[in-house]
Amino acid sequence: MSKLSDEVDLLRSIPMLANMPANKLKLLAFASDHMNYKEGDILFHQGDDADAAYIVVEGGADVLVASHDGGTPSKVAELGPDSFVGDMAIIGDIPRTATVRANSDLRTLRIRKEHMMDMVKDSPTLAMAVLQELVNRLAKTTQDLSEARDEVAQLRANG
Amino acid sequence: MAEKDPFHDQNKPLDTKLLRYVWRHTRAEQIWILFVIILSMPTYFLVLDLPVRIINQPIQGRGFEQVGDTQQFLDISFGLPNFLGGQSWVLFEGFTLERWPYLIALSCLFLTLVCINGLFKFYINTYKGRLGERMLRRMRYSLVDRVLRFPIPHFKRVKGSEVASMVKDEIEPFGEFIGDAFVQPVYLGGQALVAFVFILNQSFWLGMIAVAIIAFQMVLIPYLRRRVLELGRMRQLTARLLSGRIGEIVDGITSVHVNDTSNYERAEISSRLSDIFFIRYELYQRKFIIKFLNNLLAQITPFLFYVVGGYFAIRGTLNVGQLIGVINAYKDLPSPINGLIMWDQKRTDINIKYAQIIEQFNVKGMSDARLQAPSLEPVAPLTGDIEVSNLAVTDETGTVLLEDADFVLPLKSVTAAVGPMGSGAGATASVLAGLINPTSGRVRLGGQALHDLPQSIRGRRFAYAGTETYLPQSSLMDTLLYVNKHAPLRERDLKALGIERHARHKAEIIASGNTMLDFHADWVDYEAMGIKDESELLPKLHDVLSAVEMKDTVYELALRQSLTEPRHEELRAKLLEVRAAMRARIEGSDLSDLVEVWERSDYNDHATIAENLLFGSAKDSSKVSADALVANDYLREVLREEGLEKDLFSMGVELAETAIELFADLSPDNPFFEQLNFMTPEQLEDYPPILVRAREKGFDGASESDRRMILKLPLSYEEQRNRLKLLDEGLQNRILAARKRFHENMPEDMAEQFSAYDQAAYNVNNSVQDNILFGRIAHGSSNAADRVGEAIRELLAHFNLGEAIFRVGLEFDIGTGGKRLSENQRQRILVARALLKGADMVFLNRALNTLDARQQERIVNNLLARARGEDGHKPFGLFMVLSTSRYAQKFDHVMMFQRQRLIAHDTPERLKDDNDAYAKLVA
Repeated sequence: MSKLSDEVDLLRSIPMLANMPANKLKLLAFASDHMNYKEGDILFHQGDDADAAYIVVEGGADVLVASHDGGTPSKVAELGPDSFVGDMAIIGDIPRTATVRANSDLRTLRIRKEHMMDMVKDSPTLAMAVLQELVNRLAKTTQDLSEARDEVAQLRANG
Repeated sequence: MAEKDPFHDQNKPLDTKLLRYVWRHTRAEQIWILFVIILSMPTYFLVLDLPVRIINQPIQGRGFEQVGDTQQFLDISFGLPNFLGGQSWVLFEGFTLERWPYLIALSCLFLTLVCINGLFKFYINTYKGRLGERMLRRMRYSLVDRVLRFPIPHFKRVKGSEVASMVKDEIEPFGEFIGDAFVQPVYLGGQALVAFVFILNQSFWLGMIAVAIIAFQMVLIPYLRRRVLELGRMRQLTARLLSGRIGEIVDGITSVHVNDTSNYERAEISSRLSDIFFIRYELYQRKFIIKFLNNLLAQITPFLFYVVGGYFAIRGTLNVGQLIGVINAYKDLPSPINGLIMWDQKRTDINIKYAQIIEQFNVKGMSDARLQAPSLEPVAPLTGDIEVSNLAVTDETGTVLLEDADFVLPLKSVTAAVGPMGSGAGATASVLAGLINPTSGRVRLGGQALHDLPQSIRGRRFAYAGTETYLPQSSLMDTLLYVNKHAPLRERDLKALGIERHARHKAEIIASGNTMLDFHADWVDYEAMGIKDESELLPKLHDVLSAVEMKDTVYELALRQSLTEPRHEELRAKLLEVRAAMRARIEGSDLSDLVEVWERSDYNDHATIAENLLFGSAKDSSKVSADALVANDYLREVLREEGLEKDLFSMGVELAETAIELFADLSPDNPFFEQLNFMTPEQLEDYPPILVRAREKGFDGASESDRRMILKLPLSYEEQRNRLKLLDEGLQNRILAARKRFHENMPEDMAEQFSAYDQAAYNVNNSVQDNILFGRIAHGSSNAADRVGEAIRELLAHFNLGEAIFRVGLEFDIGTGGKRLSENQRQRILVARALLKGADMVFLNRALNTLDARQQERIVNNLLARARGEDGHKPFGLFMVLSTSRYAQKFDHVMMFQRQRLIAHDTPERLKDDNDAYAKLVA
């Protein structure tokens, strides 16, 4: 069936969702909304309550993080097509950890929190995938942290 | 001698006997109606007598034995009975008439008398009816008057629906009875007495028999009736309890549903109905036994007359003529006697009902009517301090709410009361606002006891809002202005308001002792609100609503209203200009991505197929629901003629398949169902068998009910939202053709209901926002709704319509109990109107406790700024029981309550330094 197949393909391209059964992906596609943004539009602000996650279909977005003392936010990453953003905040039920702003005309697929959560509860495959994703990110963060520490230590030694 | 106290009647307990009550208020009328009845008697007698004369004289020829004989017509003469000498006087000789003219004259006289008799009856009956209705009006009024003066704690024991059923239904039968209350017994008693005297005159002993039997009846029947009366009382009580319970079920319906107690309620109602049934059943049995006995006794009398009278006649002590006379006279006796018995039965029955009702309204501790006396004069602002000494409050169960409170509260002070629920803070606010009376101790204002002040002072110079948010149904505007309607201040042109008033309007108010204050006058006290007149009202309301952050809500309510009233004519025309400007703004700007405007010749991708087909809206939106549309013969015909029926059917089959494929294994409360816009979770179960049949037989073979089930699915389909790629251009074009056909030959009854979208016409079935936008907000664009809302707001401001739209928002009907507003909105409205009143002292008793902390803080700041007279506001005293102690620091004074006692009263700074408990509270 051709109906919803584009969306299903898109969802399948996300590693976390890749192993989901077809009918579940189709349901998720049926329930998701297309959301379009113009350059400079904000998808969500750092500190907001999280209500949805987004998959970039076309265009790009910047991920901005404000430092603790409330200084100007700095760009920490850039998102291109097929990236999944805001997923951790809706699963973890934590406020948004960053602001996401469209840097060109942006088309996204918006997945609501309650739908995502329902899927996770229902499907061990997805829960496992989420766990794997988390572990990967944690490993990456740990590595970043140790690199940053080394840099700091080096700077101090030099200074 | 002291002048008569005008409140004497109002303050006196109600008479416990209905007849006494009726006699007191309708003496003159009752005597008059009796007089009229006596006046009507001769005519009545003649109407009965004339036919006999007509038959005997001109028809049968008595007195016309010879040709040329004549009779006197209309001769008036009086004669004394033979035993008084048999003299006679002739007052008028009358006319001498022959047989044929005599017949005509007598017949015409008969007709005239029938008319006069009918007019008498008409007059008597309407007079009695009016008398009854007046008394009913008086009674209902004085009962409600009493409810308004009940002590407030009494309402904990009173059920609203029971009071309503007493005032409305239980009292109803009194009206009928009151007209007959005194007339009937006199009239019937007189009749019975005449017949009785006649019998006695004929034969003493036979008369005595009649007396004996009537006496027996008089003793026996009341004895039997005792139980009947008892049952009548029970019937009334059980019926009242039933209506109270039904009221409770309705009010507490949510707890019935969440606790699955509907069957418990059913069982209880059934058990109550059973009680009522058996009471009524026994009542019928007893009533008919009494009726049977009555009839029996009535028949035994002639039996005795035949036997005893016959015996005397045979013995020769009584002649046959006398016996026949007695028996004939007796025929006239039972009906007035029965009437009397019936009257008495009704009297006792109604007396019981009356006593039952009155008992509920003679409540101890009712406030003096003097305190509620209307006062047309403005009440001067209060000055001085509220002095409280040794104040203690206990509720009716003896629970201590507050004890040993001593404090002075200056009227202009800004004070916070802190303490947990039940600490005494709330009780203090309630006592000061006059809601509960102190059990002991004194509360004085300027040396006078606060609770002896008339309500016209307390109710105007004090304002109060508590946690309870019941609001009677009316418009938002009237809800707000309610606090400033103390007396009819200005007359209004009733004709302009379309109110017709009866010529006897005033006379009837006086006759039934109601209030003379005119409900339709303008009651709103603008001066108290600090404004000149109605013209400054809107800015004032705008001001108090912004203090409680309700301004935007009112504005949004306005955008969702539909403007159907004739008075909106001008605004509707203006909104069409706004629509045109909106359109100009949309075209060529990025708004065009956010809104898809309705075009008669284009398919709107952001609307459903049904909306695209109809291209308009109906007065009653249920007429254009998917279910109603597939059952609409005209629409189906249009679809058939455009060849759309089959296409939509196959589309429906696909939709049903998709829905079953995706949703079949989900539970009905799964959040995914919210996205299924063309089917409910319950309907989903019905579709698999329909789908099997539809696939097997196709459209042509499907039954009508299957066709409807399938066809209604695509009607809710929206391509942009559902994205199932089911709508191609060909199909869209045919839908557009169907739209055109649908509009062309619409049957009349449908055309009446329906208005098509028209760029140049305001559509009264749609909301203000839909009319301005004249299109649909697009799916899938971020913040579309916000940005469109902003554009609308700008345009309305540009066209100077802000105020008109705000007024429309104030016309919003808040629903029964204010339920169309959320609880937190109702609390804010109650605080807004406490501000609106222009009081000297505002008491807020946890009045904002359902608001979130941030909003509460902002509103408390607004209130404090106003109380202190910042920004040109008139300063006022504020006594606020806080639900969150954090804000106490902002006030000038703080009273701290703990365990029903006032433990500290000082400025917040000093308290923070000296009192550890307080420092902890506000930390």
